[in-house]
Amino acid sequence: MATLARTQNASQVSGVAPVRERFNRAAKYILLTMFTLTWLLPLFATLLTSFRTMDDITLNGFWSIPREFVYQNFIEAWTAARVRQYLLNSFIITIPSLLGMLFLSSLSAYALARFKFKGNLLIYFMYVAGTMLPFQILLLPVFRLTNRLGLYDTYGALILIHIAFQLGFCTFVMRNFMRTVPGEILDAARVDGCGEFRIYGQIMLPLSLPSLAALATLEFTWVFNDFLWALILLQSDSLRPVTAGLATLQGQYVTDWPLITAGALLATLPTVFVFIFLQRYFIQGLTLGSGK
Amino acid sequence: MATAVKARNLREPLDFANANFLGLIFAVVVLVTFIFMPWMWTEIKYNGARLMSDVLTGGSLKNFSTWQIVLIPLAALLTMGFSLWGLLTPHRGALASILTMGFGVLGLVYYADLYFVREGEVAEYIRANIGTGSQVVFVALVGLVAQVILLVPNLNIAAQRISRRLAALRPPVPQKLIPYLFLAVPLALYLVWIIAPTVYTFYLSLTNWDGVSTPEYVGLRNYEVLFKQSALAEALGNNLRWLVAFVTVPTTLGLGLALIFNTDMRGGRWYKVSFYSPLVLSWPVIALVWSWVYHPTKGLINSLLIQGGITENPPGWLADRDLAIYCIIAAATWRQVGYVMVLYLAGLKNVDPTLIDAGLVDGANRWQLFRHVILPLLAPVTTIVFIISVIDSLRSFDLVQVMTRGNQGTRVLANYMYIEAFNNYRMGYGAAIAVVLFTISIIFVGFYLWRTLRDELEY
Repeated sequence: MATLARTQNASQVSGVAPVRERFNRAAKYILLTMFTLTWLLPLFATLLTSFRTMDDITLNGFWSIPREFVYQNFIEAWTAARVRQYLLNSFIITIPSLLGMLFLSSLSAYALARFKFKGNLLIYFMYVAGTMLPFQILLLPVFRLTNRLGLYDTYGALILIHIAFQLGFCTFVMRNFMRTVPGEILDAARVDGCGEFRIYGQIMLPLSLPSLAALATLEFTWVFNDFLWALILLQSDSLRPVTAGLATLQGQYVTDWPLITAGALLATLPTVFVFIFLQRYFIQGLTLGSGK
Repeated sequence: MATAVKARNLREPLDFANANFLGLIFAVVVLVTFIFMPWMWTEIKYNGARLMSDVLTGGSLKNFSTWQIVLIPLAALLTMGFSLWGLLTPHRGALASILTMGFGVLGLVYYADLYFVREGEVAEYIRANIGTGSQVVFVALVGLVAQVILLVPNLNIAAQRISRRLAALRPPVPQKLIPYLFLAVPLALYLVWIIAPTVYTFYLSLTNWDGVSTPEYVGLRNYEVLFKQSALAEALGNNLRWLVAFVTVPTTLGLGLALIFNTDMRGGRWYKVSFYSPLVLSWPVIALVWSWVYHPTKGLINSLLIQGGITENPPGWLADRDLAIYCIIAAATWRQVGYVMVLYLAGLKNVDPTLIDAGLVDGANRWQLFRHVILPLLAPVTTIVFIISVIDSLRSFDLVQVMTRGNQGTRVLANYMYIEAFNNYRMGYGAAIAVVLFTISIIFVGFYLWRTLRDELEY
């Protein structure tokens, strides 16, 4: 696993002075820490700004010791700038999308993973190709379709397109996972007279829980963070998810950076929570798609 | 007779799979109806989800609903969860069934409130204009509660009998048809919302559609106009810059960081988290964060330059035509590095340590080890990273849209298309830009697909 650790061991064996070794390691830590802190600087700046007042920043400059810490920015972003409403909308869109895409993709993944039939590979490739599509190619027809169906400017339009668009990726991941389940388990159930749908629901799905969890975590952040579709398929401000809402907020409070940054931070809270508590699944999910 | 029934009871255990399955279906019906059918009046626009959101946050329709409407999606989600739980743990099926009934009652509280408690003009108006959605949900909720009859042992057994008899009556599904049954719904959705639109865009690019009237066929005119525009060259150039930056910087930096953090170093977890934390931020948030960093007078960078006395006249970053696109790309790279690092870390975990040992035994130094052992082993990951970088750079839209709206020479194809189609209502022209974008990306995607196909056929 560890290449550097191994080479270090090797150098210790060959007898390099331990003082130099320790110095090197300290230097490495210091450099790395400085680099990491610089990397995170934009985030610190955002956090710091959200607790200050614009007057303070204008008068004393950004690199000054803040006169006072205020939390009014958050309250104003939450109520007056309506981040509260935008966040609620995000959840109303994300949760049904997640349920829908996980259910439907597990259905198609089961069919693709476990049956030999005409067109299996073709359908699988259609799904894989769909994940790579630049979604700009879909914008106009989908816009037209939702208009025709009377779905324009509803949550439903967004939920449907999210389910459909992510179906490709979810099916791809689930199908490859389901192929790793040993066929003997399923055959045993089949011998016992279990129907296919029962095998899917009571054997395959519980076995696929790890990949479902990883997918759910990853897809939550993706759908929650979507911006383009919300811009295209919604018109009413009161329906906008938090990503599109932030753009509106920026337009309204052009120069009030403490308020904008406070809004941005509030908007990230849900995904940050998901990240903190489900980090393992998140990372798994990220690598799932490329694991093959 | 009575003893016969009793004896049968002893033999046949109660089974709540039917009840839980019904509960699941009802819950799905409630949720779908809540989102896709009119709760009031007749237009889908006035669906339950929107009324709920409005009443909770003081939106435009807040007077046309009551807060109790929250109980309906809540009941549906809880029912879904518990009926699934009941289905997967059959010995707890009865408990799950009772709970789902409880949630049915919870949902019905909304109707009870509306019809029996609430008074006055508003309530009367709501009652008079109730839409089909709320009626369907009412029926589904009543159905959910009606499962109570399955708790009666005799009825439960009778229901089992009936369902068994029904199953026997149903002609057996031909083995060949089964996969298509599984695929039917997802595939239909996929074809209608993804595949058909992709094809349809090609047609739209040959029309003069303005978003309102019927599209009229105009041949290749959109393309003729498009290829004469300097805007196209600008957008293509910016996409190319983005692409070059994305396949070089995050790849090398991500790989380097992955190699460093792959060792068991103290606190390595925190370093790793620091680098991939930007991944959870949405693009608009990243755009705002960096817009603030780049702010020409008060931003992080320029106030450092001015207050630090380094220069009196710092560059305007996003306000500078020559720099703006690079600033945006830098912000995008900031997020991408963590992603690439995660992918490489996963790839390094799969590297067989014995190969590295073998290299060490052969006397390879660190660089040789990396160049001749690790890098070739990571080749599959590198391909994925390359493909992802290309696709992401072609898709890039959000950052440009929020940071500059395509001004300051920062137009990219996606953004150019959006502005032409949705701000200038030249949808046919926008479709032509989308086709250009599609054609470029298909070159790379085709390569990846061909690779996957090859693997699949070998398998």
